[in-house]
Amino acid sequence: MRNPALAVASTIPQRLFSGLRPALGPLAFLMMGVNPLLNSQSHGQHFNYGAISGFALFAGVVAFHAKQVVLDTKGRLLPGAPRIPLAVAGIMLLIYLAAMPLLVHAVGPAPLLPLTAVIWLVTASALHFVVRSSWLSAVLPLLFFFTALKGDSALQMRVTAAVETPPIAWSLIAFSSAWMMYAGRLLSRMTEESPGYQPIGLRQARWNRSLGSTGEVNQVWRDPTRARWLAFAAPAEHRLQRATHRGASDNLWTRCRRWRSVNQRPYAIAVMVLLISAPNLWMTRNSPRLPGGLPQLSLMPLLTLFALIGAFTGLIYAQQWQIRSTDILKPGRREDFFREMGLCVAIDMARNVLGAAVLLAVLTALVAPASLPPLCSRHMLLAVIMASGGMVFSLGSVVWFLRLRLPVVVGMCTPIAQLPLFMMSATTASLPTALLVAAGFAVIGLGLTYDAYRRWLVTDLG
Amino acid sequence: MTDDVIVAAGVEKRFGRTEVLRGVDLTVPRGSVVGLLGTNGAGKTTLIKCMVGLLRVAGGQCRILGDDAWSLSPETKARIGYVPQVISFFPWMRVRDLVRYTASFYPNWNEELCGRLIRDWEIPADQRAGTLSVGQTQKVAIVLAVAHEPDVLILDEPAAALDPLARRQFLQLIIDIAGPGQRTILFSTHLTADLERVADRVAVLKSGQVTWSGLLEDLKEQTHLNLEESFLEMHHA
Repeated sequence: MRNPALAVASTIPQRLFSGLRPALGPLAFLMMGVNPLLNSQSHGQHFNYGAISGFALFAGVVAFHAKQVVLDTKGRLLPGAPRIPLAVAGIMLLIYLAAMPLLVHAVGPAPLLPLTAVIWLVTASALHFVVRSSWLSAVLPLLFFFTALKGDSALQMRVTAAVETPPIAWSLIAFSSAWMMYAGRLLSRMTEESPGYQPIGLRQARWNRSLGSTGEVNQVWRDPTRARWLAFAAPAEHRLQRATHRGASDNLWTRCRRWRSVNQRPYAIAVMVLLISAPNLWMTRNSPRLPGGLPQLSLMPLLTLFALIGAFTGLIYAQQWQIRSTDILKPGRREDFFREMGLCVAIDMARNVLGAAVLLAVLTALVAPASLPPLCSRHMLLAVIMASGGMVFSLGSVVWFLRLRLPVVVGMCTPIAQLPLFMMSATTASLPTALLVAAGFAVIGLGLTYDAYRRWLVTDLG
Repeated sequence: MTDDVIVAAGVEKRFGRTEVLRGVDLTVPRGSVVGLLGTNGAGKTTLIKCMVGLLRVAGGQCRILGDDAWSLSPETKARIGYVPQVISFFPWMRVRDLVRYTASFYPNWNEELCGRLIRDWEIPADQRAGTLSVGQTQKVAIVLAVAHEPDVLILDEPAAALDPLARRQFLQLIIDIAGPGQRTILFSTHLTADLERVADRVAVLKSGQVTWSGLLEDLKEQTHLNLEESFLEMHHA
């Protein structure tokens, strides 16, 4: 691939994957659990590809963690730096295997051989995707993901029929095993110099081996059209240049702009919403009701994601805390630092949530225009209120639980964000009730955030 | 008015039930180069973090340049340079981005000094922080800590990952910075040879308490041993 712009574009799956990573574990289980419910008419008839794609996402999480353990440079070289224990990878693998019965339950009485073949194939592709971050290996998980959300489509029927044929199933298993061994070999031999070393978006236009040097990238910057594209693909560098302009006034806004300029991937969250919410909307249009549930609960996956956008935006800052904590030593008062950081999180949350809302509106207009009227209806209003309460609640919970361990937080994030939505299902769907429940959760979320600030954020920064 | 730049008086710090600092008393006079010695787990990093206000003391008081360490004014912060033990940068940022970003916070950033150090230490300015070696990362952190010409430089095991050449250059830099006796430097280290070369004062931390503090020459005179032997003797005492 000699075209630097294409090289930039080719890093997007990995950047996306990075943005998704914290959500993948719980999302995988969510998909396994929720999709069979939503597609209950297909339960037991053939594979539930939603559940399988959830399994694939989880395989990606395991593979990503394995890569982190292998490439834990700081842990290996820096005195005193904590190492990622291998036991964690082992436990994740055990969870992955233990999830199999859940999957079997989800898909119903499916034949074991084709099921194994599909899981094996998806796991291999997920592992390779994580190790090499190539488009090719991303195709299969994405394909399963999208076919899963098509419901009883002819495509899904044809794929199912093909995989159920023993020779094809065995061929798939053999192919997947070889592929997995190849990816495992790549992973075990990976060093800091390997093309797939850098985890996320660190190598825009550089990661591809055939591209070679940064010289070509520099040439791209001189091309105005490509420079504009790069400013989109590598926005952080572009924003950093503007935000750190010497001589700029040092007011609250410029300082926030400077703090925020180091955040990469501002578009990743929006694109994540685009990718995941589009099929969800589609699916919702086809099978919009849970038996006996409230209409707005049919938007559960969508609302959960919407609620998580805010929480993940805050989580990005929390994850950066080790880097950001010493920033408090840069000239400025302690209380100003926290005020500025709080404002940064608020700005980013508002931008991401509003951006996602606009994206969803446009998307709905393009993909499912028939669903547009309900967007303005009472159901949608209730759903948005519930999601907003869930967002504040999940952000507070995330920050509060971060005192413990990040994986705990990540694991809890999705169910936490869903809690207000489930609570709502137990009530009558009136506007005052929705407002009351959402406000209640929002107050708890704000309380948790304040408590985390008082107990954790203010005290030990190191 | 005292001429002590850093004052730790009866500093206590505990993490849960673990008492890390148990009434540390330490003063760092203006213009001195103080080496903080101690075994692993003695509390060096915790003490340094308390001194710069990254950790809140449970008891006692830490003052730096006359300010309480927990509530440093922006002006005081602009006069402090700090290199943590575990250095974390945003991995996507190139070295020149890191410099640009850090410089934007300091009104007195010395671009000439920064550029010279980057050249002399052969730091790849176009390389991303995530791809730097541990030694290169440490070099970058040191450059970022000294480029605004701080009055007080606090370094937590700054030379641990440097190669012999870079270590020599770093020690020379310390000597240059401290040269006229205007700047104060506190650094923790395990490398007693380095400390002997640049420090004029030593503080020994053992089990969360300062067991010895004073001029390096006095220590040698008292014990008739070199620094490493003195340290080992104190540790086993």
